[in-house]
Amino acid sequence: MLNIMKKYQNAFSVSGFETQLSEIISKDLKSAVDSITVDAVGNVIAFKKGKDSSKKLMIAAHMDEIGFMAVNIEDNGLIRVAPIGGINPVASSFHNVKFQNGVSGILVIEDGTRAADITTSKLFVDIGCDTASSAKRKVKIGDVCAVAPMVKKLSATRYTSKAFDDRICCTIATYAALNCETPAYDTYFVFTVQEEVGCRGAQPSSFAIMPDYSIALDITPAPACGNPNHFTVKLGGGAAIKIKDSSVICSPKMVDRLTELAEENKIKYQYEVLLAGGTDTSKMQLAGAGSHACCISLPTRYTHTPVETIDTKDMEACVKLLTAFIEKGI
Amino acid sequence: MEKLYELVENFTSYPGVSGYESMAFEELENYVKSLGIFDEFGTTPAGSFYGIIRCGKKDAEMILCDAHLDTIGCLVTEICDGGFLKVANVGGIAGKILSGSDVNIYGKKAIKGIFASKPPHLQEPGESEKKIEVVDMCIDTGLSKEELEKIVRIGTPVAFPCRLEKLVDNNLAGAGFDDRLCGAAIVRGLMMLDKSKLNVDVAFQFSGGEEIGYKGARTNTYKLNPDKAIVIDVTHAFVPGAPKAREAVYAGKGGDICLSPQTNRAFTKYCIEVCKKENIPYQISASPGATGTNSNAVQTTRNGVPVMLISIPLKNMHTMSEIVNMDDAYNTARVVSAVIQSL
Repeated sequence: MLNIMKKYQNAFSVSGFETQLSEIISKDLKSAVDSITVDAVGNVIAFKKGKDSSKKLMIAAHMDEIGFMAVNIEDNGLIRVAPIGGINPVASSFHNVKFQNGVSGILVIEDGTRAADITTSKLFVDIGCDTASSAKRKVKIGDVCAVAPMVKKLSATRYTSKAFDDRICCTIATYAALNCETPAYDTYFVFTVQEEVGCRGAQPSSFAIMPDYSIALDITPAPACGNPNHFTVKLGGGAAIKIKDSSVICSPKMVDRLTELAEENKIKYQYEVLLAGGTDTSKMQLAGAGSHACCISLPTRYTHTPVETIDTKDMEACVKLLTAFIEKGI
Repeated sequence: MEKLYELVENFTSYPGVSGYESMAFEELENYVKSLGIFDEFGTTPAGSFYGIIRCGKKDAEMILCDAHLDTIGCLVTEICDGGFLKVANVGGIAGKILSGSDVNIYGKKAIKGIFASKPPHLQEPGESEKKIEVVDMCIDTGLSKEELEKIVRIGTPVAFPCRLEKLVDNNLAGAGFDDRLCGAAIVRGLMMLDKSKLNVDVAFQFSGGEEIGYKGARTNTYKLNPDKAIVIDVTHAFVPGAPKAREAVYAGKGGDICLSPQTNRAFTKYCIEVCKKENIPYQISASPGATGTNSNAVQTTRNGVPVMLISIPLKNMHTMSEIVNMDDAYNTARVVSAVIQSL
């Protein structure tokens, strides 16, 4: 699983530009599933036939990560960028970035900006060019970049990287698809696009599938220090069964069943109530006449920064819980 | 009017915080079945319940009547020492109304709790003026943490109990009138129908998740695929001191028919003509932006549905003591019945 994780973390996949990762995932899953397709918006849909084909289960993890788009090449060769998704400008600045075409740069802040005044409008990328014409040969308006990948092991079970949101859950979904026994229901593993900009991939894919049951896989903030009020999830506390976030209240039927499966299989779990932030869960719950939807969340520290931190014990708990539902159903 | 009261009494007694509407399904279905007016029943996953009356005519159109089943409430976020619970609100609740109020906690068994309140004697100067957030408050259950953990978990829903209180002049106070009252008005309207002269199939949709984003209305409307729809919700009745702009709607003057881009003007005009013909009191208000009801979700489902919105004036909305003039609810039921019968 760690090998899949490292491979996925190193791929380029900013919202709207997920092709590189989608090709890697498609290749990984091809031999293990009954069919694999990429739809018009770019979602990868891997299908495994189940024992009971009268019901459909949809699993969604999003391939995209937050990033930046070049909006202007300035006379001095610096590249003005706009955020794609919920960027924390303080956390992202003064890091190495990489464009989709491989060009490296550094994300910096306008000189003289006081810490309190840092906003995304103060950000630009320095690719080492002194003139607009030389910069334009490397980067064009509309090109996208993200923080350069760098996976680090902190301790026996802790890793830090950018974009664990939600690459780590793509790893979980891939691993489950490769290793699960025949699913209880016809099961669609969907690797969605554009979650970070409004869950735009989950909507058409769930309308295409029209699931009866659905499980999103996403990360959830686990506080490390400071004021941990109103957060229910702890890093290392196990798979988090989502109760609600600001986009969804999970279906009680699914919450109860996942709880039961966690208890039966002695999988460490915790409940998540997230007061701000949304996931693909909502789009799946509301597709067509609706589905019973829940989300298995992976506790993550420092979300939407280049140093998101996870615990592999939680990751294993998520895989076990997901696999249990795939194999046993409701 | 007695039948309407009985419907309100029943509908407001069920649990059903947004997202947890399924807790009401069994009792609701049993009760609605006992009325004997519907031919079919069903539910959809986003918390909606529906009943259908078939007119028996081939290729009949379907008219949908929507009210929402879910109520505002809270979900438990933490079980604390001393038997206290921390909660997060579901739907809009002002923290300042909660101190000292009692709630039902729907854990493994239903228990009572009281929102704790710091007595004025113990407050620092100026403390009483501060805004109170729901997430900063706690509920006292009187149990130990250990006992409480056996009954309650993170995510357990919490709601206001409804105790109906008859006030003078046909006014009624209670909780959850938003929008259980409107469900009662729809069913009361459907009870007035002469089934032998019905030309359309009629669906009653008690939809889930309205308070958290009009969710069940969208999915259940998708399921039923109606040709027209009447959406019923509550609206704010004018009270002295409220902004002049709200003066269009008074309690006691009938249901409030809404003119809005989120409703269909032609169908709305048609309904107004029916009211005039049948001498049913109504009021008119305008909502140039969003109506804040299920009207838009219903209107934009599938290929689009012509929607008319009628709202029952309510005072103290989203509190445990909402007040309605029951004449308004009854007259709204008459509109539902008259419009459907006229089609």
